[in-house]
Amino acid sequence: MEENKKMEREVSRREFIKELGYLAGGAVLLSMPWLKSQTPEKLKEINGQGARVALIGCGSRGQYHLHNLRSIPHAEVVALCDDYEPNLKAAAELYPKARLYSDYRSLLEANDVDGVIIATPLHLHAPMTLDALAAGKHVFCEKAMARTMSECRAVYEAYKRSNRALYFCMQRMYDPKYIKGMERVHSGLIGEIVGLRCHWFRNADWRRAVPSPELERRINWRLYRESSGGLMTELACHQLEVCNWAMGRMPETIMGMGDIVFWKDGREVYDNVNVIYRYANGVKINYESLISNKYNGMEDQILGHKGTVDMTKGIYYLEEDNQLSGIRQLLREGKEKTLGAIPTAGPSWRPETRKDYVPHTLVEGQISVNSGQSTVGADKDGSDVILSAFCQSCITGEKAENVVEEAYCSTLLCLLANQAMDEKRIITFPEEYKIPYMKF
Amino acid sequence: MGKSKVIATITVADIIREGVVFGVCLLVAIAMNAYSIVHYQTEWIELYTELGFVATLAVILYAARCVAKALILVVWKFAKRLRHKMKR
Repeated sequence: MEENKKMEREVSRREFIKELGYLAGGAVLLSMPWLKSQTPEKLKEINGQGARVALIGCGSRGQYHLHNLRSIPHAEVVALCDDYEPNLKAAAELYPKARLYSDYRSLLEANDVDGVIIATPLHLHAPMTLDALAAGKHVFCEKAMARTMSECRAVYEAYKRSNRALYFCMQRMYDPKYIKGMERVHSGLIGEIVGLRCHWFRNADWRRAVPSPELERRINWRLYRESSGGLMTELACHQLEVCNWAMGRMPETIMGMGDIVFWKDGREVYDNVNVIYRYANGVKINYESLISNKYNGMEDQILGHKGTVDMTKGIYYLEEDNQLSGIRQLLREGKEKTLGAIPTAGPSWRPETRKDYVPHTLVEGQISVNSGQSTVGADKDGSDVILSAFCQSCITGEKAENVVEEAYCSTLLCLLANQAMDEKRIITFPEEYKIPYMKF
Repeated sequence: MGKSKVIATITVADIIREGVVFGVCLLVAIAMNAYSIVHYQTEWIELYTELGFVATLAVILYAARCVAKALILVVWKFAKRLRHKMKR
């Protein structure tokens, strides 16, 4: 059954590559070089080999990765580590043969571990990543990169010096909807990008059950500033990466407002944020997130002067839709003119309520749409593919292109947004944190 | 003597007439299709590919004509009865 699942996953990954029409050296791979590892030729290189990986941090997200690893034929989980015993036990049930550790430093000394997967709270990402790279391990770390900007810089510099692969879980870079969507955006389908709208709305307090009060700040780490960047690092990180990917550059200035509006339960991070990022050409990202209303769900929208791409749903809309047949366009126009609201202040005024656009899919066939409501992770949102790519790197030793840089850029933007909200001022991207990869 | 019942019959002439009316509705729908192809600069193959849609449109036009005719008939009969009552 396990073997069948692994084979199924392998076939579907090959189909993923075939469907997207990637060939080694193809034009798309030039603009998305991190996908080079996913070509059929590269997959053949690792045939029959397995990466020995260990998980550090066996909470819900760590266990999510363990489930994905079961479907990766070239991965073998040899060790698990967590200093919170209930999590370690739960993970051990999934991989009973794996060695168990409570101290990650001991795990890093093991010679039979090729790579480590870090799924711990945010404030531990940087120290653990640095230690793992220093120990000669390949590293896959959950997003965001680090808790502070100086830590991000340290990780980036260590990575540049190291010959080890480093990945951050920027799964949208490996999600077929986003890949195809970006291809269409960059081909001019929706014209010139004039705006970006991202939001992530949930209705849940983010709290987990705590067996005793002294564990509160450990288990509910997301709610406290020493361990979490709040909504920005936990949610916005992915969406800001998508915006930069679309624009091909970084925003110059950031402003925002954050508050604790509803969940006044002693938490320190905002439960309600609005942030604006401005690019040099005036295009802005409007970012909104709150966790006390889920009506609008999660969306990443790229607005062009000719149309809109809704990346999360894998759909695009055109302002002037020529893909409908002539007769259908005629009837739709007739319906809008005759059944539209009666103008009251003269024929020049009609209420501009939201139009019904015709949706077109970016990817043919069934796709997975992330509702954004799970705090653990969505199914087939690219997390499985990027994890597979990491395991591949553990075997071949090849670094993934641009993944670390994209994680660095989006994490910096999250942390700068927090700074802008805290200090209540417009912040310009600081010179000392710019890297050669960035374009403004 | 009781009132004689008038039973409506559908004659061949009625069928031919309604057939012609439907034919006109179909021609109007086809003409709309052709106009929309020119106006929105879509492909001429839509004259064929949108036949189903055009046929449905023709049925809707025919049904609208039948409803309009029925309404006119009702109004006309009501007006006639009213005139008859006023003459008395």
